[in-house]
Amino acid sequence: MRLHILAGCRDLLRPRLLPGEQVAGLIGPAIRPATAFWLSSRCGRFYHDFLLDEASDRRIEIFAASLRDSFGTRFEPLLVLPELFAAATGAISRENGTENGTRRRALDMLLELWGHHPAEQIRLHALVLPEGVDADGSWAAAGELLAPRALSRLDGLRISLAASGLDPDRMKIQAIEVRRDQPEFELLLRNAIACQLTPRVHARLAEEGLAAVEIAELQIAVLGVLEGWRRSGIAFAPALGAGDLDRLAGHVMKRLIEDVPANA
Amino acid sequence: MSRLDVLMPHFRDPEGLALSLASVAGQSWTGDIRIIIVDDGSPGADFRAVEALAAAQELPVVLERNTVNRGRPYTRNRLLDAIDSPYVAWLDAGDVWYPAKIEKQFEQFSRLRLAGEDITRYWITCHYDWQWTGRKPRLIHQDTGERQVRELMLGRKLRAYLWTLLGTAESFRAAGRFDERLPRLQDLDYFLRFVLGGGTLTVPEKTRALCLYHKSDLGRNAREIRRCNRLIRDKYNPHLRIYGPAFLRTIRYNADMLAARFAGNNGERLKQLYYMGSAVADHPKRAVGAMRHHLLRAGK
Repeated sequence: MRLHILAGCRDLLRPRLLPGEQVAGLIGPAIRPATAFWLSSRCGRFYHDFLLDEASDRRIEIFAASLRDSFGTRFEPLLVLPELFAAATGAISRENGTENGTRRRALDMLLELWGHHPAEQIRLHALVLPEGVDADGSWAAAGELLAPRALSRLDGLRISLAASGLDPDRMKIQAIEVRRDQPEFELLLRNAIACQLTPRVHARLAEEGLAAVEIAELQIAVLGVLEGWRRSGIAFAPALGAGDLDRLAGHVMKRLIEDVPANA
Repeated sequence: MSRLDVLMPHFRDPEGLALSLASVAGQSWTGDIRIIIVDDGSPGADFRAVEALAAAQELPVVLERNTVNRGRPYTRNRLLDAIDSPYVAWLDAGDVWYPAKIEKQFEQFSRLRLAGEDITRYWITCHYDWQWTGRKPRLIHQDTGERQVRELMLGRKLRAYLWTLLGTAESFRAAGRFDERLPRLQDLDYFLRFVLGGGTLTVPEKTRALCLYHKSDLGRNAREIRRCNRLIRDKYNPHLRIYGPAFLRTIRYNADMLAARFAGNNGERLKQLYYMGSAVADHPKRAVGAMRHHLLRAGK
C-alpha cells in the first residue's frame, strides 16, 4: 500500500478547511481520504487532527487496521496533517514550545501508525501556489507557500522520519501546485492572504492601542472579511506584493473595527 | 489478495445478477473486493450471459458452475469453499446493495475494535428495504437486541438474510456448512448456529436501509417451506423449548401461515386453506387476533 501524507502548507490549509475529497482530488485520481467515522462523523472528513489528540483509546492502532482493510490496490489513502510543517518560520509569530510539541506529536503518531501497519511507500506532499501570485518575492520569504521552500521543508520532514528509523528510500516528496483554474484555488489563496495579513493587522492594532486576544481568532476574523469581499464580487489581483498586502491590511482593519456593534 | 470476498449464488437470473454486480461495483468502500459467483447449473444461454457479465466487470471475478442444478445450500457451500479473503459478504442475484453498505459495515467493525471486542464473534447485518414486485420499498429494521435466537425464529424484528451480512471469513467458517436438507431457510439455520455458538448480530450505528431485497413468492413451494420450518424446529428443539409453550405454538403458527401465503400467492387455494386451518389449530387465540386485525384493516 502507498500512503499519502499532505504535510502542508498550513497557511494554505487553514483557517478555512478544505474537504478531504477535494484535497485527494488535487493529488491524484486513485487517492481517497482515510476517514474514521467510527470515531465521530467528522474524523477524517477534513484533516486528521483527531490522531494527534492525547486520547486514552486505541484509535491509532484501530485506524491502522482500518487502513489495512479499506485500502489496497484500487485506492490509496491520504492523511492531511498540516501540523507536520508547523514551524516558527511562518507568517505569524508562534510560541516555540507549542509548535515544536505539535510537530513532535504528529511525527510520533506517524511512527506509531507505521508500527501497526507498515506502508510499502510513503508520499509526502505539500500544496503550493503558483509563483505568479508573488509580485515581489515577499511570499517566497514568508513561508512554504511556493514550491522551492515547500520542497525544502518536505525534504527536512523526510530526514526527520528517516532519523526515526523509517527507510528513506521508501519516502518520496512532491510539491503540488494548485492552478488558478482549479476550483480549490480561491479558498487556498484566501487562506494564504489571511495568513499574510494577520500579522500586519495585528501590528496596526497595536499602533492604535488595541490588541488581539488570540492570534488564531484574529486570523479567522480577517478571513471573514476576505470572504465577505468575495460574496460582494470582489476578487484579488493576480499578483500581490508587500505594498498591496500592507494596504489590504489597512482596509481589513478598518472593516474589523467598524463592524463591531456598539453593544457587542 | 483481496480483503473482501463477495459470495454470489446464481440460478437462471442473469438480469438480476447484472443488477447485483452493478451494486457491488458502486460501493463507496475503497478496499479490494473479489467477487465469487457459483452458477447452480443454469441452462446454457443463461450461463453464457453470466460469463459475459463476469468478463465485463472491473473487479476481479471468479466464476464456477455446478454441472447440474444442486440447490442453494450446496451452491453456498461451494462459495464457502472458495473464500480466500479475510472478510466475507453475501449477495443473492437480484438483490441490491446501496453504495454505502460495505463502508458502513466496516466502520462498525472499527467501533467494535475500539470497544475492545473480538470481531470474529460478530456478524454485521443492516436495515434494508423490502420490495414486493410491483410495490414501493418498505424499510425493515433489524433489531439486534437481546434474545437473538428467539427473535430470529419469530422473524419479525430480526430476520436471517445472508445478503445483509458482513463478517470475517473465520466467523463464517466457524458457523459450519449449509444444511443441504434445507432448500429453503438455510439462512435461518446458519444464523441460529452462529448465535448459538456464541456469535452476535449487530447493525451499524445511525444508518438507514443499506440494501434492497426484491421479494416474490411466485414459484415458491409451500410444502417445502413448511417442511424446512419443521426440520429447523426439530434441530433446535432443546434451545427453543426454553422460551416456553406459547413461543413454540407461535412459531408453528407462523410457519403454517407462511406456507399458506406461499400457496395463496401461487394460486393453490386448497393448500392455502389447509395450512391456515393447521395454523388455527396451532394457536387459535393468535388466529382470532389476526383475523380481527385483517377485518379492521379491510373496514378502513
